[in-house]
Amino acid sequence: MNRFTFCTLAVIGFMLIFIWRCKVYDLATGTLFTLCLGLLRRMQLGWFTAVFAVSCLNRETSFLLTLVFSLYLFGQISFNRLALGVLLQGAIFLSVRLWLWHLYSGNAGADAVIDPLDNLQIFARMPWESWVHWSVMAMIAWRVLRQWKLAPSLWQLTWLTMFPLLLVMYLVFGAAFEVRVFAELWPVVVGIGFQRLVFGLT
Amino acid sequence: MKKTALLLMVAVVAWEYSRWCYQHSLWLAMQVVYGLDDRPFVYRALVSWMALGLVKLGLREDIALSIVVVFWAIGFVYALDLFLNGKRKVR
Repeated sequence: MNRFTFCTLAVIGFMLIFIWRCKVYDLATGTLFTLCLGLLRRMQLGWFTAVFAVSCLNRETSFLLTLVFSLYLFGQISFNRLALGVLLQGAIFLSVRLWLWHLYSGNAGADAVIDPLDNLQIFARMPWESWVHWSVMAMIAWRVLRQWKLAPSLWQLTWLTMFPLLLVMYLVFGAAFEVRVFAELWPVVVGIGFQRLVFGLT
Repeated sequence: MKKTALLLMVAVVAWEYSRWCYQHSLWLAMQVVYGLDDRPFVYRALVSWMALGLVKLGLREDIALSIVVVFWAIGFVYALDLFLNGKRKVR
């Protein structure tokens, strides 16, 4: 199997795993986050910023990319350059989000759905499903941790930054069992989880 | 040839996946494309706007949305290839 075949299977796996309550923008989320992380590792920061801007139009979790950007490049580039990058991304993020908020302010619904207690109650009401759900998540996290030492630093940093935050956001802003909210982590899960295979592929 | 076959496989799966996303409903697809979805989902505008562009070219809303989703699925394959092929530029 070559790397392209592996990537194809990984994307198909994404669609199969995240199909429950899937949204049309989930694949775009995975693509844009993966692209940004790939460009960051290649230090193509101009392209990173351009793709980041597009990502802001797609999902508000794009701010996680700025977090990874700032932590990864701290100490690797000059502080002024890093600060400029972070400020620029912050300005892009805020501008895009405010613009979208203004554009769709008349739509039904709320700016954010915050219902952590409801989620916890749903987990409590469905113990068997909850057990399976959290067991699978624990297995994936365990798989990542077992392969940890071999992983490139960017992948490690991305996991350490995004996983806890996405977990909190899942419980607070998400809906119970809607694991598609972890779409941003897919490249890292696949990369770290299967890296022995990946690094052997051409 | 093999690459084409793989991408075709992704496209087929993504096409069906996209139809699950709007629950095989033209009405729901139209809601998404025309930005009539509820907040906060409507704020995730990129895919909707891309689909709207295709609708203006004459495509039906659900077809346009599915084409955009297929586009991103194929893009995801290439993005993942770039991500996993980690040649780091040293400065």
